[in-house]
Amino acid sequence: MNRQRIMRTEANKNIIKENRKKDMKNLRLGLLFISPIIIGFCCFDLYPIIMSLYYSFTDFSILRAPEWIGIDNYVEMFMDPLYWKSVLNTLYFTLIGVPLLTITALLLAVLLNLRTPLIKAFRALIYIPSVVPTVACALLWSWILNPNYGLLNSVLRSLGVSNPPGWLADPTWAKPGILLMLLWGTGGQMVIFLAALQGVPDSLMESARLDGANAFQIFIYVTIPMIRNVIFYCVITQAVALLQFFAQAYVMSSASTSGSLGGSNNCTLFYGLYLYQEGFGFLKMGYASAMAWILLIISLFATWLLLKFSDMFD
Amino acid sequence: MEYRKMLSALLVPAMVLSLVACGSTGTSSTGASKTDSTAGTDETAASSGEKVTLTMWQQWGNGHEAEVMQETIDKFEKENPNITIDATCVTDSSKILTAISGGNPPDILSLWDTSVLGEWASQGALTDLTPYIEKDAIDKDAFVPKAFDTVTYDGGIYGMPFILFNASLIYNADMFTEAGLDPESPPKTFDELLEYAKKLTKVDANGNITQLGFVPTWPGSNMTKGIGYNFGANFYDESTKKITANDAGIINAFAFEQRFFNEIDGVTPQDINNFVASGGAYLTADDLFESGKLAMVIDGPWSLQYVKENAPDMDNSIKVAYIPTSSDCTDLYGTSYLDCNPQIIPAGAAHPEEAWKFISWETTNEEVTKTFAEMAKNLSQLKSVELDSIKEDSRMQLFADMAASDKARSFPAIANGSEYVTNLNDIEGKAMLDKTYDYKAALDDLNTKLNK
Repeated sequence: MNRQRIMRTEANKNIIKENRKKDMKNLRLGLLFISPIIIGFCCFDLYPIIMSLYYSFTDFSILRAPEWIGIDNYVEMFMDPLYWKSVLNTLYFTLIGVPLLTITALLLAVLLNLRTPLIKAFRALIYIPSVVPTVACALLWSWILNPNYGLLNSVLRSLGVSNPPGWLADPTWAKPGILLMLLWGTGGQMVIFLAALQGVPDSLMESARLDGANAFQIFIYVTIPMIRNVIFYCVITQAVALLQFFAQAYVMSSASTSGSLGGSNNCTLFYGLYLYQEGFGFLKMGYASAMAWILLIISLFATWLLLKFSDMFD
Repeated sequence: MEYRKMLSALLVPAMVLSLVACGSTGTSSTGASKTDSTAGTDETAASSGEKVTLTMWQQWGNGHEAEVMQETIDKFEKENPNITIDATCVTDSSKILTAISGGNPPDILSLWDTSVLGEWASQGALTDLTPYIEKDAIDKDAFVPKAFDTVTYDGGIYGMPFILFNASLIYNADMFTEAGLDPESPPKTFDELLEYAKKLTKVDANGNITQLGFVPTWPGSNMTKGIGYNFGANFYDESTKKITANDAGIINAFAFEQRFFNEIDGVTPQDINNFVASGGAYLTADDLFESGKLAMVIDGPWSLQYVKENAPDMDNSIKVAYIPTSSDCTDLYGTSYLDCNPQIIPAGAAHPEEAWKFISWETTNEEVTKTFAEMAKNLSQLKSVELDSIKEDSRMQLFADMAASDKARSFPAIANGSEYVTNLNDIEGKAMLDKTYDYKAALDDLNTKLNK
């Protein structure tokens, strides 16, 4: 009995040793296969990230060697009213944008999940805008949002609004205008939701229906919990994307007659734009690096918060 | 799963960081240290006739402009068989910065204006041409008096001035007549200009602007940086080397702009802003001026040519006059900003000697200057050049006179120039939209911040 047990453990040990050898070999092979991405990541992501941490403690203009100044950049940032303006702009944009875009995409997906004729055509129509390249989309929308001749204001006028907003030219309406543009391009998220919705088993819905649940109840108590992970995925990626919002705002402000990067009264000076302006416009790379690090911390914090929030439902 | 989510969320902001850091690899050791490559040390190649290929990054443009550039280069290469020039259109200044800081800059930079000259020169990114100018005894008197002011930073000359531009008051005489104003007597002070603008502005029954008399923020006017001079503004004190953001002239200019936006009857500043934003792209037939919806602008010589091309019916009614002045400095009547397309040798250029040969040839050659001035619809930096565009269009003479005048003023090259101008424009924008905004305090703060 005892002897047998000993022999078994011996055998086990051998097997474990064998396996470990195999694992090591596999690991080595695996690492070799993904080495391009590892090397690429180290050279083009990790190295710049570490360097930017160093630069954030220096006075660095790109053209001259960086000069160590300790935490001066961070101190300056917290005393810079324009920095706070960019933070507030970005937070406002993210806090309103994320729920707005996610809920719209979800509702669209629900509608497009109905089994009606021509549904494929509708799906394609809603998805098409998200295929339009970013810059083209931004230029197109700066015309749609044109105060006097824009499509949007023409429609508003024909509906009887005598003095429609100036959109991008008006500090209070510029951010809603940009959100409208993002809503138009929400097809990408819609497709993800649609796929998730189609993965919800019919049997669950069927049994809920048999238990007497109406369509709304099924949606709230069956569909939403089933696609919860997808919703969180979309919320997190959307939040991170909006915190770093740059391209469209850059194109729209360069296309405007005011020519100022932050738009009228800096109302669309988002975090990314201000960072770009300080770094590449004013050659304050150290300051821009410090801003980037704070943005990283904000993004991490937002992600952590959202994950905590999602844990509450487990 | 959770760990992976976290990681992917981490990677996205990483992209922002890498964007910031991407311009910085291989820092400045190469770029800045080569600044003091003095003239004369590199003469071997130029005199021995060894084959040299120069790279040139130009900002004239890609199409027709690139062809004209190539014709000029061909001519130069014929006279200098040992030099070949390879020109590319590069308008992205972060690309230029990266090239200089990476120690691999082009030999020649042809920029579209001097707005970055002070910043780059102060960082040691540009070659001081003074020794070359002295060695070759370039005759500065052949240039219009203020030409070299546009390219001077802290006593050094960091580019050869090439093809000048400035601005004047350009107005639509038909709209003047219609509003009961005499087109032969344009406004001479900004107070008059405001009165004219009020008469030239039309508002429909719904309160929408259909025609505007003037707007201070027209692209070609260079904003405050441009018209500030006509309020007697001094942006920089050369003797103390300090920025003077709260100069009385700048304050007066902002006061006028605030009044302008708030004193037009029946419309709010935001209405004016919306109307201006509604215009099509600048210098197209849809822009507010060329489509006959704006009566007066402060703009450069090129705008006359664009009217001719885009709106030929309107051309006869377009007149030009000096930019008005504030009523307390009428002696400045005839003043305008002056800028040029600087021809630059970046620090660390591989063949500065040959590069100098080209830019000194190009900027002192009458024929080349004439070709480029007419192509860009701008003005000559050389006194002796007679442009066909002036012979054909007498209105161009006013621009040329202003550029050649001692009253011309160029915006000083300052180490933190872009930050200064961007901040001025921001304060200006706020002052225009909000009449309660304390722009004087903002200018004081800006002055403290930039002189730190």
